[in-house]
Amino acid sequence: MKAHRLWATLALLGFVSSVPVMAPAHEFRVGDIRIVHPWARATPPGARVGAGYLTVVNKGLIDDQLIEASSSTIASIEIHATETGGGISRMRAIPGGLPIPADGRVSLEPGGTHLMLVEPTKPLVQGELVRSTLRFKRAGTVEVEFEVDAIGAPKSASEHD
Amino acid sequence: MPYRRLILTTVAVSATVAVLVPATVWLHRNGNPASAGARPFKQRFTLVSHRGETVTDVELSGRPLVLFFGFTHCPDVCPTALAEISKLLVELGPAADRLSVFFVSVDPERDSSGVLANYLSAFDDRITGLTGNVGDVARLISGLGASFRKIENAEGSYAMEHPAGTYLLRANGTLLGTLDPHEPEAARRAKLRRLAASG
Repeated sequence: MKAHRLWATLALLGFVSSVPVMAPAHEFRVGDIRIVHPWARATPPGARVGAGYLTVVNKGLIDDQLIEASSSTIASIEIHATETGGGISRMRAIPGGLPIPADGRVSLEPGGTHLMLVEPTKPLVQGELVRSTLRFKRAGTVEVEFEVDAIGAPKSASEHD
Repeated sequence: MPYRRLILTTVAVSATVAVLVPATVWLHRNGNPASAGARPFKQRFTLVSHRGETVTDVELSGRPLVLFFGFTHCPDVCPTALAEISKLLVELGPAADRLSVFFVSVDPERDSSGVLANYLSAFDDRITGLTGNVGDVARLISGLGASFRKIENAEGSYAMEHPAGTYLLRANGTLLGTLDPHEPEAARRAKLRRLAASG
């Protein structure tokens, strides 16, 4: 009887562990916009800024724009680009929002465009979720959750698209 | 007669090899003889480490150096680089202990020794943070032919432009190269191995 239950449990575990493969990816939708796997990096102790990344897919026929991101646990969120040229690295704000072309996708990844998370009210800890609101010019606002990955996590570690 | 010529030729070739090989090896090891033993930095500076120790250009001379320039208000590039350096040091094994690895703040106004100590606790403990006054940081960086500058934005905050690559300096003060964030990891590991061998 006991052995029987053990096998049943194992079978159930096998089933459960195979579920995430079939389950939809960590993503959010609003209108024609899909936000795929928003994630952030854990912040080193004392860091006043963090970074968030995501992929935005526009399934519509009209261009859209990510114009704002906000969170009740982060003082401000800025859309930034990292540019490297002539041996120099610099960050600049993307004025007027991030264009999301019709029938296109834009990926925010380490070393490129990112959301700068300024002054989180508490450190970003791996495994936790950060709730945030994204506002698109056409599609409107959508609540998303950023999954916090390791400090310095590369994009390959978190790409589930 | 041809036999004698052969012997003469052999002697001549051996003598040439005997002189050239050690000379080449010496040049290879020491770089240009004029700069042999030169310090890597052209200007004097005094900085403070995240452990509170004073570090000058003299202390940074005569050992293989890995120098990354960044700041703690940098959410994207800097944690990436520090995490990668941490990973490479582990992969390098005991050879990594021959390297002196520094995270030099280009934002010393905000990055005090204490801020760096806190921040670096998330990375390999062989990475030493350096800060000080802006002039000393500038002398270190400009001495390497690199630069940094403050970019103020409309909201009253600012970010720093900083050298993108991680500088690798041999024990003899010559530049081995930089770790480029876009090159394959194996290339970066190979450079660090060569650097460790230079000390």
